[in-house]
This record gives sequence, C-alpha cells and structure tokens, in this order.
Amino acid sequence: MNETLILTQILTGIVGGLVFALLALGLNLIFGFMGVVNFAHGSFYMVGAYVGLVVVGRLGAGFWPALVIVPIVVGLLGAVVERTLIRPLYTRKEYEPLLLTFGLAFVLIEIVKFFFGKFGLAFNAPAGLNDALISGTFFFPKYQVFLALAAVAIIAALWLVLEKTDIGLIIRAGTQDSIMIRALGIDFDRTRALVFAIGIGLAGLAGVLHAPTRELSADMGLLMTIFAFVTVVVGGMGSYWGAVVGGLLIGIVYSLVSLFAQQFAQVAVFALMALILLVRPRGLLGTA
Amino acid sequence: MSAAPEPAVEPILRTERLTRHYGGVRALTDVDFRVEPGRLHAVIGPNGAGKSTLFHVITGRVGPTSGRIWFRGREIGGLSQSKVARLGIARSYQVTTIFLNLTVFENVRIAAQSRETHVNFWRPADSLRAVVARAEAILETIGLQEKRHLLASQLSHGEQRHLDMAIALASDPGLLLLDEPTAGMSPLETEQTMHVIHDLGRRVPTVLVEHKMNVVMQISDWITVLHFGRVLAEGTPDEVRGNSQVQEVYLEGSI
Amino acid sequence: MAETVRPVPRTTDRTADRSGRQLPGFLRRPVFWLAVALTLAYFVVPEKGLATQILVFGLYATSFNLLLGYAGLLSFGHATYFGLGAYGTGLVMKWWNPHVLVAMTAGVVLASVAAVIIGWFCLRRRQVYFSMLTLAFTQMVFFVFQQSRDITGGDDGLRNIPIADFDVPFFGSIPLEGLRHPENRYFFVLIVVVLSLILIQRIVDSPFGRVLQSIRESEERAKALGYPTDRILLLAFVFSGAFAGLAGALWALLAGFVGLETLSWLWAGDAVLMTIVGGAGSFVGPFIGAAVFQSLREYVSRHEALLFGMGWQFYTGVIFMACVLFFPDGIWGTLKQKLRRRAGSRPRVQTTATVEDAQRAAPTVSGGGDGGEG
Repeated sequence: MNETLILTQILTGIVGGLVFALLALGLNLIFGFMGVVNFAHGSFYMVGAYVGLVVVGRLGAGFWPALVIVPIVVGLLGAVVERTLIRPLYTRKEYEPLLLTFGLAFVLIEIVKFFFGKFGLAFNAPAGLNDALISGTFFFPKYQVFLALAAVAIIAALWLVLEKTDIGLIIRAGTQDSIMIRALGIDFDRTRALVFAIGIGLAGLAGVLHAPTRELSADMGLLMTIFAFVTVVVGGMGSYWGAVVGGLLIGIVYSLVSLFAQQFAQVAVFALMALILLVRPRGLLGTA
Repeated sequence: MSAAPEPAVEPILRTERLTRHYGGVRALTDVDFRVEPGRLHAVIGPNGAGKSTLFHVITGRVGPTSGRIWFRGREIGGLSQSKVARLGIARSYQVTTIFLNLTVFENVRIAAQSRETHVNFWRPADSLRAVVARAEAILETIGLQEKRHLLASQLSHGEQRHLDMAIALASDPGLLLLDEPTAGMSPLETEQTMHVIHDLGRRVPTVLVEHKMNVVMQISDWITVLHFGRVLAEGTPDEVRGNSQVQEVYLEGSI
Repeated sequence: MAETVRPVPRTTDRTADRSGRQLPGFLRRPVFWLAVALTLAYFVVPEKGLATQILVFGLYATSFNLLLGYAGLLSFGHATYFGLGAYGTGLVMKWWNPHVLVAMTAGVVLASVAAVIIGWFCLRRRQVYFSMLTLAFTQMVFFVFQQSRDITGGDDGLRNIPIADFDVPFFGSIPLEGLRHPENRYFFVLIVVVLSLILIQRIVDSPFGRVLQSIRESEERAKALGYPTDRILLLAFVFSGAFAGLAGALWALLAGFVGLETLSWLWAGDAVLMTIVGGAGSFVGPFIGAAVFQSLREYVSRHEALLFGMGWQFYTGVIFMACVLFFPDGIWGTLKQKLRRRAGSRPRVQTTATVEDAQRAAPTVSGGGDGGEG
C-alpha cells in the first residue's frame, strides 16, 4: 500500500468531508434558529443536483450559472415549504416538524423519481475541470480540487456573514433566545423563513457542486441526511467549526476504510459516532 | 450574624463552604447552611442571589464546584438527582414542573409510588393500595381532591403550583425544599398556600425560598439571607428584619 | 356523566373503577374490544393474506408505539428489531428446524439483545438526537447483514425457510404447513398478536408503565422523585424491541422468506407512518394505521397506471404529512375526541395532546380519567 494511494484517499476524504460539513452547517443553522430537525435536508441536496442537471443539461445554461441559479431555486423552494408546511407546527409538540420533514423527504424522492426515473444519471464536470492533476503516480481529479476550494470558500463566507453582518448577528442571537429577538421588534417570521431558505439553499448548492463526482439517483440524499446528522453528533451540537471538523473526520474515516474494506466504510462511520457517544457525548467541539 | 445558640441536635442538612461557579458566574460561594429540625427555614435574597442554585446543588441537579453537603449525617455532594431523591430530599419548582397530560390524581400517585423499592411491571398500578391511599391523603392535605380527575394541564395556575408541592410531598421526604411556591399567585391564593406550608412545616422539615416578604416574615422560624451567592445574615425574622445590612440590600427598606 | 368517586379500589376489582359502571374489569380494557374486532376482521376483509399482513404490521406498529406514545421516544430504527426477529427465526429454522416456538423465541431474543445494546447507546441522548441515533444504528445493522452474504443471503435475502409442524403436547401436532393457507395463518397470528397485546396492556397499566408516562411528561421531575429514568427507558426500549422482533418472527414464518428490506430505514419509517396516521398512544391506532397503510400499498401497486405512475410511497407520504399537519392525533385519536365531545364526557390521558387540545376539552369536563388508556 503505497503512500500516494493513501494520500489520494485522504484528499478524497477531505473533499467528501467538506460536503458533509456544508450539509451539517445547514442543519445546524436550521435547528439552532428554529428548533426544526430537517429530515429532508439530504433530499434538498438531491433536488439541488437534479435542478443543476436540468439547468445545465436541459436548459443548456453553463455550469457556472447553475451554481448561482440552483441555490436560489432550491432556497425559494425551501421558503415555500417553511411557509406552508412547517410554520403551522411551531406551537406543537417538539418532534412534529421532524415528522413532517420525514414525510417530505419521501415525497420529494418520489416526485424526482417520477420525472427522472429511478436509475442513475450522470452529471458532467464543466470543461476545463474534466481532467486531473497528475504527478508521477499521483492522480487527483481537478474537479475535486475545485469542489474543495468552493466548499472552503462557502464555509468561510457563511462564517463571515454570521459573525460580521447585522443579519448574522440576528441569526446568532435568535439561536440563543427567540423571545428576545421578537422583543427587539425584528420580524421573526420573515427571519425564520430566511434562515430556513439559506440552510436549504446551502444544501442545494452542496448537491449541485457534488453532482459531477457521483451518479445521481433519487434516493442519494437519504444517506447524506444521516451522515449530516452523524457529523453534527461527532462534531458537536451547535458548534460551527464542530460541523466542519466532524465532517472532515468522517470523510477521511470513510475514505480510508474503503481503501481496505469497502463494504465496511459506512459501518466505520457509525462506529465512530458510537465511540464519540461513549467517550464524549457532547461531541468534539460541542458545548452543552 | 446573630448569635444563635449552638444546636444540640444534629442538623437535618448541613453544608460547609459550599460553592458553585458556572464559568465566570459565581452562583454560590462558601455557603455554610444548616437546617435544624423543628423550624421552618426560609431562604431569601434579591434576584440572582443563588437561592435556586442552592436547591439545585442540594438535590443533585448540579454538582458542587467545591464544598461539602451532609444530609442526616451522610455526605451527598456529587450524588445524582435520583440518588439524592431516594435518600429523602424532595423539592418543588419555581417554574411549575408537573406531569401535564396525566390526571391530578396520577401526578400525586406516581410521586407516592416512588417510595416503592422495585418498579413492578406486571401488576396493575392501581392495585398498590398503600400508594393509592397515600396519594389520597396528600390530595386532601393540599386540597385538590375535588379536581383529581382533571388533567393537570386543566388546573389554574395556583392549583398547578399546589400540585407541584403535592408531588414533592407525596414522595414522603425527610426534607422538603419549596422553590417560590407562591410564584404568580393572587393575594388570596398566597394566603391559603401560607397556611398549607405552615402546616407542612410542622410535619416535615421544610426549607422555603420566597420573594414575598410578608409570607416569609409570618410563617418562618428561621431565615437565611443570601446575597451574590454568599450568606449575608441569618436569624429569626425579627433579627433579620432589624439587620442593617439586610435593610440596605433590600432597597425598599420595609421588610 | 355522574361520577361515583371511590377513594380505594374495591377488593373485587383488579383495576380502580372510577366510572361507577358495573362491567367487570377486563371488558373495559380496549384490548378486549380490539381483539374482538381483529377476530371479526377476518370475516370482513376479503383478502386473507392482506388481513394477516395487517395483523403483523399492527403488532410492529404497536411495539413502536410503546416507545412513542407511552415513553415519548421517537425511534426511527425499529426495523432493526423486526428484521433481527425475522432473520433470527429464519436462520434457526433453516439450520436446526426445531419446534416453531423455539425458533420464534430465538428471533425475539436476538432482537432483544440488540435492543439492549443499541438502546444503551441511543439513550445517551434524548429527543432529536436519540431519534437520529436510532436511525444510524439501523443503517449499521443493515450494512452488516448486507455484507454477510454467506449467512444472511445479502441482498437476496433469506430464502426457503422450512416450516415444521407445531407440536402441542398431548394434543398431537398441528400441521403448520397449513400455515401457508390463509385461514390457519390468520388465526395463528391472531393468537400471538392478542397474547402480545394483553402483555403490553399489562405493562402499560403497571407501575412501570405509569413511570414511563411520567418520564414522557417530565423526565426532570421523574428523576427528582428518585426514579432511575435511564434504566426505565432502556427497559421500555427492550420490551419494544422484543415485540417488534416477535412481529418479525411471525413474518419469517408466514412468508418463508426474509428480505433485506426488513432491516432498512424505509421499513423503520413504516412503523412511524402507520402509528402517526393511525394514532399514537392508543392500542387501536397502530392497527388502524397498519390497515390504512397496507391497503393503500396494495391498491396503489395494482392501479399504478391510473394514478399517474406515482409510487405508493408518494401517497403514503402525502397522507402522513396531512396527518401531521391536520390530524396530529391520528385517525383514531381524532375520532375519539369527536365522539367524546359528542357524549360530553370526561377527558382522558391524551398522549399526543397539546395544551390547546386540553383547553378545548376543558368546557365539557365533569371528572374522570385513568392514568393510561387504550
């Protein structure tokens, strides 16, 4: 087992891990601000990939415009969902929004299956990123590099928005105490819809960015949802950088284990989660 | 501090340099606290003085940062909530914490049942006669027997506060901690509750955290004043009332 | 309704009878009427195979409901116990072909052991995190079984499970090969299901069941009363897993085949869907949910062309979302409330009630209610 192979796997793991991180950040945002557990998060990731497919493939727009269009479209979808399906549930029992998003996950899958069929579709990387970085025996697709850089840029940008802008301040404060926010006269309903839309849009963006590296299928979001939650458990509930660290850790573990025993890569991830629960239940960077 | 005569009897509860800090917040610092049998003991102090924290630490909801606690001569610092409860310390809550979707009767019955050593999963719960009888008795004491079939969520605020107390009482405690039992009550309800607490105090060692000065002055035998997590003064109601430091702290001046 | 309040239960009654009615205790239990209904259902439902499936899924949903309706824990991983019960039973039958009850016990034991281990991990957290953890463990078990082709058959599933005669001592044997015939099948399953329901009813009515409900309402307070809540919840988790395993064991025997999907999170989601749609916190609800669910699945699968080619999961998903939004108490819960308001009768424990529900019920209150209900 030579070092180049291991290096490649680690890098692949980092790239995958950054995608998990993006999803986990969206989940954290929505859960932190609104207390809603979005079981359909992975489904929106999947929808983002398919919308990207439509925009690039059927509408003929380029890949780069798709990166802008997809999060907006999916984000708007998220806003509609929040307004119609989730808003009535805020005053109810705590797990009801979770149940609703659970049902929604199924329904989204079926709708996509209806239009696109069950089987895998391909999504090609844009020209220019189609080839790979090669150095001796080292081989790494350029698109993956781009994906990693894009993810890092998004993570950094989101952090800046949360830390440095007014809306970010409101979001962070609202995550702590929604009553205070209302008392300050901020339109809570609208802010909530916005936060949800941002979280969902982020998932959609992750989907379209990730699409060229994998075969698209309607239920590919399910495992992503689970992994996103595992990321949050491992990285620490409510922690921004916890989501990032958790994602990277899971991505690398998955990647390395699949090098040695492909079948058990997923089990390894869950075993990691079980270990964290045993040794440090609040997660690596978790607070409470 | 007043010159209290050295108690001849072992205190029910005793703390020594009890401290609880939450990061930068010093909720309790070096608190020496004793609960003597036979007197109704009140703990007062401005907001943030550490009164609820004192209860949290005693009941094991949080552990002490440092310092020791003894209950009936046995050290309980650091024990879990359920262990402390099984040793015989019960509390009521400032924010009503009852079983909303169970009936009033069931709320009290489940508390009375907690004294059983094993949790049986075969016989019908209602066939535990002693438990049922005890629940009935507690309901009468608190005055809720007419409403026994209602869901706890259907009671008025004052009645819910009473139920909160009844639950604590039904577990047959050796020490009863009441956290602002009259919170949110009307003057009439407060008056009624005072009588109930006064009665209770004669049967079970009781420590009362309260904000309402008239309540505290009328029914307690001994008062501990907390301020910024420390014991500021202690004594009988008259002694405390006359204490100049206490008067300063309570800006109203009229206690 | 006039109430006679008796402070202490009469010695003749096993259960406290506060309503003043003269019916003996067991007739008042919902389980009795449910058992009657399920027996009669055989003659009402034209398709016996479907009816039997409803029984098995009803038990499965009931096991899930023990956790949700009574303990307040939302488990997304119940398929694990169903599947383990099925695989356990199937494997024991294939390898040793012992008495059917032995095989079923093996399945239930396997499911229960898994429940102890997984439950211990998942109960390190509560609420949402608990739910997601149950799902993650389900995925783990799924993959382990998928990879162990040699033992489990992997994606192809476990096939050709033999079924021996059922030996009843002093009675001779009942040819269970006849279990593949609809009539025998139904009544065999019915007996197992009714016995299970009786057991679950006893558990729910017991001191343990009551503590469970108090934990659902306020774990903080239950702890402050001295109850070891973690242990109690774990025990509930194991009971729940055991009954799910029993449902799986029945499944293996009936079909002669166990597919990998019985361990999947989709199968786990089925339990959630059926119970919420039927009504959590009651005995009848899960069976209604199972009936709706299975019938819908059959109907949609057969008439797919008519329904725009949308899979049955779409329709169940939509119905489920509609229930969450508009009928949170499920079909049975909503029906009960409507009937109750008609009769102007007393409120009872509403295990999925919101504060608003209780306030709505308040004007018609005239007393009465027990600690748990069917």
